[in-house]
Amino acid sequence: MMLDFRKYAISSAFRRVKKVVAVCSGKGGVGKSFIATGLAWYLKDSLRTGLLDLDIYGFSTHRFLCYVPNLRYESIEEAVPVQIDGLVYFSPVLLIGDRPFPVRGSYREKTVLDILSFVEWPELDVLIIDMPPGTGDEVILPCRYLAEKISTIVVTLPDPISLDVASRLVMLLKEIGVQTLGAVLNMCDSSVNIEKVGDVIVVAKVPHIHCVVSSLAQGRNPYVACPEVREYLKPIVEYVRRLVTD
Amino acid sequence: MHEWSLAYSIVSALLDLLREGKVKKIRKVVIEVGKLVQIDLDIFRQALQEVAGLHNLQDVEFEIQEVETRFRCSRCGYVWTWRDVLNKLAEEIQDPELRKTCLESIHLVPAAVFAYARCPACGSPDYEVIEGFDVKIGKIVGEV
Repeated sequence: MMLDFRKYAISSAFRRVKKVVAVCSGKGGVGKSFIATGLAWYLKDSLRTGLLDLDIYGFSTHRFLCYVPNLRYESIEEAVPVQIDGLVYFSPVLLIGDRPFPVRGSYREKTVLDILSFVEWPELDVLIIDMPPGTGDEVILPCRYLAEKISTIVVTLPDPISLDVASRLVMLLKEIGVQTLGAVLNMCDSSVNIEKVGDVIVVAKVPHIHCVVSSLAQGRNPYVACPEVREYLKPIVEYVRRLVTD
Repeated sequence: MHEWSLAYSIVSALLDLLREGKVKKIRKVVIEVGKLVQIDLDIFRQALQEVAGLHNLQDVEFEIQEVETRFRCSRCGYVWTWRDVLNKLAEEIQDPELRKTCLESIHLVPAAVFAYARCPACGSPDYEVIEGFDVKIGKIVGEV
């Protein structure tokens, strides 16, 4: 008899978290991490907010936060996330620094479950998860183990190919019984006339923002350095804030 | 994975088995622990007994079997053990604080070994863990 005892560890690790919002994308390279990190960054102004980077191959949220972990001093022995300007944060970068993480097959599943199991989250109104791109285990597993708390936001580019993949992701999420709160069109002019992805409403259209690239190149947090980012993300931030506080 | 958290999870799973009527009584639970996970067996044993005792499972015998972790390279076929990894890490990461973080990372997320260790023979990152990867329940003895 195979006994799945991880679900109890995950349930315990998340017991103080009220809501989980997973930011997903079917394809990589659509700006999911930028949206997820920005969402968490602005939500922390009014809610107790956490950010978990579960993108084990492409973890990058620390770069947006301009956070450089010092593996020599930040012992993870206590299994507690770090605090960055009031944002409660965990990422694989705290485990392995900037090394590549060549986990394959079933080890990938175990890695996701282990990270969900061991990080002891404090009292949080909302935890944003930057999910790995894809429509496989990486999406299904967190949704299965956090079923009672999780809802999702789908990020996509506005081109037909990205929209096709995002629509398939929306269908999958519906099939596994997870609510999708809305879609975000990234790198998208306001003139683009797309109001739905699959049957999910587009809640924000975010254009290419030059300031983000230049501030990252200068080692500055783009959510602080670029006021327009706050404006563009405002619809989705307010949407999630209402969800959590209502 | 932390010893107490692990003990809590295992006992919770056993309680569900009893609650759901899948077993009537549990006499013995055999738990296999891969060396890679670096579980403190004394703390784990104590945690299991204490958590079980809190839920009227004090009569359950917990047998913990430590399993050697063995790796096999997918490129050259070389086989090595966790002890070899430890020796290599001691050579490569001389800063004791950094080494501590590395081992703690593998303790919490065993797959982190893939970030820190390479095949000792050919340097490939493409290898598998043949046995002793994590903690699992090997056997439950009881009445159905």
